Amino acid sequence: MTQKIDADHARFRHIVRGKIKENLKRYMSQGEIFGKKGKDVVSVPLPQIQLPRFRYGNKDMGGVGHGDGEIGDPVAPGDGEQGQGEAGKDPGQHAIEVDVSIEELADILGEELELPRIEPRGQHKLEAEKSRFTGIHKVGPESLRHFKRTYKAALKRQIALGTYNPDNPIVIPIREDMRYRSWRTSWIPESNAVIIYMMDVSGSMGEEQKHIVRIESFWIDTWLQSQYQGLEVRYITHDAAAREVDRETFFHTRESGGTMISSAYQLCADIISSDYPSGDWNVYPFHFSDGDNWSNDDTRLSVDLLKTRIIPHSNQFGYGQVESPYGSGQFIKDLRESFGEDESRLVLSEIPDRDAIIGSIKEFLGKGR
Amino acid sequence: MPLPRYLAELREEIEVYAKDYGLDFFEVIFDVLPYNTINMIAAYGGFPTRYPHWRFGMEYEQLSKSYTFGLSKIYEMVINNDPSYAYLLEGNSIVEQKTVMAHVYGHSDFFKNNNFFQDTNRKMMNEMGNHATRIRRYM
Repeated sequence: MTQKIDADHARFRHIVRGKIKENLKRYMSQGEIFGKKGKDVVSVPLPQIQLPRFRYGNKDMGGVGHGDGEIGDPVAPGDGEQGQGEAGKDPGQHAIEVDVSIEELADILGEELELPRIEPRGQHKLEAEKSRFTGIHKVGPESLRHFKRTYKAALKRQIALGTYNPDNPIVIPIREDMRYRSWRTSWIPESNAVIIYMMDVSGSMGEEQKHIVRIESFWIDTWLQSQYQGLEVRYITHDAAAREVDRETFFHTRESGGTMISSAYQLCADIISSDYPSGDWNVYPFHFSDGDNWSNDDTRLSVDLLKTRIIPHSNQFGYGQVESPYGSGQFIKDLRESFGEDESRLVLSEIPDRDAIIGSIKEFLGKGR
Repeated sequence: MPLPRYLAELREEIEVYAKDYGLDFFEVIFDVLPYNTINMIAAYGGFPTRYPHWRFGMEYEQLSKSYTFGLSKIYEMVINNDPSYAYLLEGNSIVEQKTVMAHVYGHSDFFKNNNFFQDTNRKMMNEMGNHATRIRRYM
């Protein structure tokens, strides 16, 4: 039902959208949005929006506009003396929470970071089957009989034949008058995408590093979800060995131990080849680490896996290196050396701190793959 | 929406009781409204026609949300006007509607007789409507 208030409400939503956009950078680096994520909406705390109002000047304080002046009158009242303040007792302004749908958030993100729309890879998978009642047939099951159309057909026939009597309006449909609903089945093309997150949980990755990964993955999720109807997400953690985990574990485990990146890549490659044959799926592996791999041999093995088994099957492989006090950060340099500039499907991004998240997301998603 | 029959009958009954108690009120016009319309009117400050402003949209958003989460519910609204307009929430139980209607007569008596309210404009509904039209014209 449309209501008179809809226009005002839409205008308000528009203002909210603007506010979110203004503060997007802060949300992105602070991760204030988390913990409040519902299924399809995100609650965004907004500082109370100020209502416009008239403010009156002080009366009889001098200045222009108070009748005939004298030479020496100030044009406007000066700033008052510095007063002695007391501790306040009033509560601060409460933030109001506004629900924003994931799509809208993704839209804002896209607009603000100027992210290109993703062109899904060619193969559209015929996925969902959808039936809709679209027409009327002369034959069909009785359960789908269209009473009104049947009646009309019968009425028309009787009038045409002259057997209709307005004083005794009995309409009797015969076989040819029957009308039935009919449906059509259509196939909706759907392209599917999977994100595979890999995170280094070795001893050198601290809480702060993981938090950065969490914020970053939230935004990547949000964006890719807006681009694909069916999005699956898989999580892999690794130290010296890799395992697949659920979302909860992924973000909260703290492990110790060494780092063998190849173990994660091995598992990722296995998942891709068994569950997501590249013809049908848009695959997005992301790996986050502090870049401190155990040995050169392992790095060589990792690069080899990337070259032969992961990158050829992916739309894009993202490697985000989070800076930690312990890591050497060597891995990103190794990747850069081994791949050079030719491999455009490999995106490398360094994330020294929270403020860098926004730039890093732009690097990851800015290519529109 | 006009009153359904069972409420119209109750209204007459309650009106008699109110008069018996010595209340002197304006004629009261009851409307039964669904929650979203009630919220809309509440956001407009009780008057159905207002000038366009997003502030009302914000109020509406907050009212709707707190209603959806079950934090608040508007049982009734009545405005100082002659006749008084009162809004009842669709789906309230009969007991709630009865209480609200009786309560509204009290309000209306107060509007009519309170000293402070003596000089208030009793055609505020029209006045607000006119303001709205004027501002729409300027826009």
